[in-house]
Amino acid sequence: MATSIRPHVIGAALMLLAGTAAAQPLEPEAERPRDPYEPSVPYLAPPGEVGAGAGIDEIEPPPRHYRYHVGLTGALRFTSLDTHEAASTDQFLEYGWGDAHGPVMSTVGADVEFLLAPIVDLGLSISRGTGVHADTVGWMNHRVETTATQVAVVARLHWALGRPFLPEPRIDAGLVHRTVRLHDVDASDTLPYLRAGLDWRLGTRRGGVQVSAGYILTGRASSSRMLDPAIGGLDVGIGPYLRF
Amino acid sequence: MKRLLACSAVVLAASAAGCLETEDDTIQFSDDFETPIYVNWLWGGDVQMVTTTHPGEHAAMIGPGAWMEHVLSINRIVDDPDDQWGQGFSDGNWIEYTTDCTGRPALAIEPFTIPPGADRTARIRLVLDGSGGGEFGRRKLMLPALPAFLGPPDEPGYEEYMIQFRAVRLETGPAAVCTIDNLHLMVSGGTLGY
Repeated sequence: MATSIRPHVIGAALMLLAGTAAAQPLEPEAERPRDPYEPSVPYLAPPGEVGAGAGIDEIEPPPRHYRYHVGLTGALRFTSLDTHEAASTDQFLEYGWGDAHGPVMSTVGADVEFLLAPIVDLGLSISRGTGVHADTVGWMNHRVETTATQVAVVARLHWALGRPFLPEPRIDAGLVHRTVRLHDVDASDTLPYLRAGLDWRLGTRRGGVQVSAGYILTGRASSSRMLDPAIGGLDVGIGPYLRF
Repeated sequence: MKRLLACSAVVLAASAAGCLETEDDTIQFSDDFETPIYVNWLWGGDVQMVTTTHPGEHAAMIGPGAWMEHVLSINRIVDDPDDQWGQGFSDGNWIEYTTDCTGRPALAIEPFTIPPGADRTARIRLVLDGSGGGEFGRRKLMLPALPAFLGPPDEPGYEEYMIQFRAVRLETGPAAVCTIDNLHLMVSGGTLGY
């Protein structure tokens, strides 16, 4: 008897185990990492925006906050608007150059900022521009070619809170390495550099095109007997940006 | 032919920088002193090639009482002594240069007798004075009217005659040390304008 019952008991036990396992809830999902700026309580819209009784799923989630901003810029710098341009041009003309002027320097640059600092985005920028400040002495077609390489700390007021299309004031403060090439000889000096301007992000919170404009002030040569081409002035640029 | 400006091909290689243009009011002679001085210039005394506003910008520094001289080949045909300003004369004759000397310079046209026996040949002589070391500035000096030794021939009935500028000489005063660069010489037309 006992021998004939045993298979049934074992079968019933297995079915019971299988049924119990099937009835148990699944393992809870691993929690996704939370954005530190994401509120810990569900976002509640102001009264009137959402109908009474609306569920949490119908409410728009808060915007995501990105940590970093990377931008590339191609710019034109109008050195004729530098406060030092008249003195610079006079210096060339007084030395006998036939044509001297504040050129439009073409510039390329890049910047990266950390977006979660209080009040401002903090970062670094680097850019490099070139221009011809003077040419022609008598019959000779000589040229004075100037290159300016800037490295600066960036502070940008983030009152737009990540939203594009709102201009944000920005200041770059750093150093500019100026190289003047004349008769195939280079001479360099390093000067203080300050740029104050605005950035407009035309795109989404994630990426797009950024337009920037600013005014650049630089230091002067240490000696009045040395060439001192103007490399500041109005700077207008455009380029892509990405936030992540 | 009212005026003749020609660039002589038979001048010394040293005068290669001093070429005559075919129009008035253009630079007849120019030197930026980027070529070593001993290539194109004769000199006496303390004359050096120095850098000025940039390590690649060179100039001539002329010490006290020193001189340097460059061959020219500027010829002028004068055919109408009654029209001393010449037709087409517009902008005069002058020498211009860059210097750090603040003193009063002197410019003269004097006889130049090389080759010996040459008639109506002249040298332009610029004497710099003052102390150097200040900021560089541009100076422009008008050439004086043609002196008597470049005047018309005594014999009557001539139609035209030629005057020749054969050299430019730079000098400093006995106590001056001057740096000079980007020297240009302009010669226009007429007997007053040459």
